[in-house]
Amino acid sequence: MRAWRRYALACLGSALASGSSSALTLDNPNFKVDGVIIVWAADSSGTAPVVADFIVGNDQSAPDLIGIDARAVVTGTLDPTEDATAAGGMPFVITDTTSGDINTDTNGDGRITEADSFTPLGLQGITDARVDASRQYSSFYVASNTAFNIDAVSTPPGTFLDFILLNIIRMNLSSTVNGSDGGVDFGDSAQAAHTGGPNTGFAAETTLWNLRFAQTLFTGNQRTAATPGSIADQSVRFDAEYAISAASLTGYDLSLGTFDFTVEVTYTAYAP
Amino acid sequence: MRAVYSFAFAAFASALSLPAMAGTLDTPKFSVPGLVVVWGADESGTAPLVSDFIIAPPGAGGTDVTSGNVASVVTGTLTPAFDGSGSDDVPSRLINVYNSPSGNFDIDSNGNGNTDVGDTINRFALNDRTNFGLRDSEARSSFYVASNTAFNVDAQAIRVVGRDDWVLGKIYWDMEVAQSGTDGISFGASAQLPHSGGPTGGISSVASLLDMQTQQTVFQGNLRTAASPGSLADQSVRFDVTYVLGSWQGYGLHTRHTNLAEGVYEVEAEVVYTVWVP
Repeated sequence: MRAWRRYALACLGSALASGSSSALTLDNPNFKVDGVIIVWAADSSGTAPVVADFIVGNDQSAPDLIGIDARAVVTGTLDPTEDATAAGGMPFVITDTTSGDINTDTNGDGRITEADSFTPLGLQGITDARVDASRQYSSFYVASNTAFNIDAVSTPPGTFLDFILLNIIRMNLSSTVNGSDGGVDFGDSAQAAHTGGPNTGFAAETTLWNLRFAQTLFTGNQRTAATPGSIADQSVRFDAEYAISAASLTGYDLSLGTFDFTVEVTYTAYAP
Repeated sequence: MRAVYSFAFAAFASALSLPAMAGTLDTPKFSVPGLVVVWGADESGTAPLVSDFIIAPPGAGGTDVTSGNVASVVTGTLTPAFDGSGSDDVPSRLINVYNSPSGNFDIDSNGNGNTDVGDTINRFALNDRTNFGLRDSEARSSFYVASNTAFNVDAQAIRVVGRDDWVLGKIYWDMEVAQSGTDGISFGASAQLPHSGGPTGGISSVASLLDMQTQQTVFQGNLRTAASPGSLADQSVRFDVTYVLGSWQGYGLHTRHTNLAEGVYEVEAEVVYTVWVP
């Protein structure tokens, strides 16, 4: 930027020194670096890591130069959420067995899959099965040379069950400045996207129902790139947590059958 | 429904108001998988015991995440049906005499339920229709299933004792489902039959264990058993299996008929039932 000013002064000085009143040639070499916000994670085909969003500009009209959207990954991995969440389901708790309550999520991954295992259960007349609390974590990464915000909007309900689930699923967005996921280090040259730290600038926990209208979930005030480095080095990770509490599931009974609920949440990063 | 559509429109309009920039799609997914709980006893006699816990995420079949297997119980009780000790498990040794001039009678003077060396009988007259037969040549066993999804049951018979596999054809097989009852524990108060066709709906026409030498689907359900809120036992139905030692005579199954020409034989089979989510 300092070099640009020297050019301007040189040109002006040249014009004054010529003394000619017949011609004046003005030149304005102008170098400008626009704001850049890069979002990376996976793409819809499951390839990761890929940069899927490249926003250039300094305001809300800034375009995304890449014609596809990023696909969030399971936090701590580079597995696209759409694939990674397909296996397993919400865990069950078998209450009032002869050995007390048994949680079927024996490996603690938050789901019940073939990786869980337990021994036979003594049955009583009051032994019951209910669904336990469940959480899911997903992430995407942002590198920027400017401050940015993140909005989110969820798909509207299509059925009454969707309506219920959108209401009971709570979501929370936070950030992690550095780490290593799937063999890719991030954040070594990054700073939190808010001067208050990685937990600042975020909206309060909300429900997916509230996100049926777009909400600003993060309001940043500084770029993520702190020192020279690669895109990954200058990236921070945004972590979304979706949770259904056990209290919200007390009404579930086997007589309600199975359900399979997927909602699409779209996060939009933009320069404010 | 009108409210839903108005929500959809509102959300769409809101989405349009977003800055036209980068989008990151996330798809949180919550599913309650299919769950099929099978209970009965174990071979040590502990009952009731849940030993099969089959979870089936949508489209993923099913996996039993428990380490043990269910042992069936004598129908109407929680007593293990077979203790693996041999043919004594099936009370098929009581010989009857049929169609003698003095009628039918048991050869069980000591009343122990078997015809054995402790019995004595008087001489008896015979005619050209008099024959021997087996009484009580029937064994009934059960297991219980509670589910939040439709399921199937496969079966495979393995000859454990017997001269040759053909003896499996001597054991006829039938199955039906009891919706409710009390067998030391009440079951079925909040259950429905797992097939819309009733107690015998979805049951295959497998005739004998010989037909089960390779694994066969013997029940194809189309309903979950859990009909209304309740405990696992409340939401369970009972699968009742009947094994009959007999002979097929063209016009029906003769459970009383045995032919001396068949000689002495003993047959024992292990039948493995596998519950799975289609």
